[in-house]
Amino acid sequence: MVRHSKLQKQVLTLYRQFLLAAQDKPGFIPRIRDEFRANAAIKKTDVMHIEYLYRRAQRQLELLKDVNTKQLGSFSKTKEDN
Amino acid sequence: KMFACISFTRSAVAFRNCRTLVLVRYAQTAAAPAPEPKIKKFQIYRWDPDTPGDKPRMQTYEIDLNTCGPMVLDALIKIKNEMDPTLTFRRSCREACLNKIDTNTSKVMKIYPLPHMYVVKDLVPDMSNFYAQYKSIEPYLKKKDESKQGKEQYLQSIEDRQKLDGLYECILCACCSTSCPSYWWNGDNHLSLLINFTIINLPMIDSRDDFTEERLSKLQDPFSLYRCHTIMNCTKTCPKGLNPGKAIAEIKKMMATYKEKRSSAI
Repeated sequence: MVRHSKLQKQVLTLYRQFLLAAQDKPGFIPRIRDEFRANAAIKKTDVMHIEYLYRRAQRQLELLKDVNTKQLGSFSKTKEDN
Repeated sequence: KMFACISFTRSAVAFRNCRTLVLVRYAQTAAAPAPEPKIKKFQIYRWDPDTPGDKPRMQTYEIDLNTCGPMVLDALIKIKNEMDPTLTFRRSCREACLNKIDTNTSKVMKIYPLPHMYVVKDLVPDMSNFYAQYKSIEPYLKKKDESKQGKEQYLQSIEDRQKLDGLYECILCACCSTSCPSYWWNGDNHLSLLINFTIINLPMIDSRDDFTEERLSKLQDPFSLYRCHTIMNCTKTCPKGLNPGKAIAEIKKMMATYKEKRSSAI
């Protein structure tokens, strides 16, 4: 059975931290899930890209944990019948 | 009796010698001869992490120096406006980008982001570590007695104000810390390595601040101050011509007297 590499474990702990931090704040969890699912497609060998995203995520995690962040909302286009 | 002045009006020219009239006329109507295009090559570090599979690379741009301002930042802005709008850089670089373009067109000019810093995109480095360290030294005046805050100015003698003269001009460009090899090896591992904050650590030198002793005691550990081995890259690179190396030496002196006081007190 192939074990997770160090980097994979780091990404997984980061995911857990994100979900923990977003518990009480509405609107973050779907966004977090989408982002992580989309980036799961990156090859394991592309370490530079993964590390860049990891650093970016840590910065965003700091913002999330900040007391002043309350919720996340988004606008989406709806089909309008003319 | 040739007058080279072109600002003479046509009527005034009429009184001159016929030959000179014709020559001055030509000078007025003909434009200055177009200067030959001085093409200079710029090799710029590019990396876009948002496009998958992109690797860092050097991209070459050619600019005619006659159509561009003298500074490197002018060249970058011109490239961004006319040739490649995807080139990313921090606009505030104006203060730091004081280098004139070397007009020698046979040499290629290479532009890299700040050394040993994580790159966010193209020439933009991740400065969050730098700012966190800046925040940790508490770069503001602290008084023991806060009751008079805001009521009137804190006075200071002229000699004390002169002590601040090489220090307050710092623009926090991070050129000094990122040029120091000691900072490269120890900058983020040991968070207590306070960057070339000594320039920024105005409050320590400022006579209006009361917390000098506490600030000095914060620097006691072997990493904050003593990683400096007087490499002096900082002074060489400072775009404002300040001397961070000297400021660090001053603080080391202050530390020495502080230690003496402590050991004599015990």
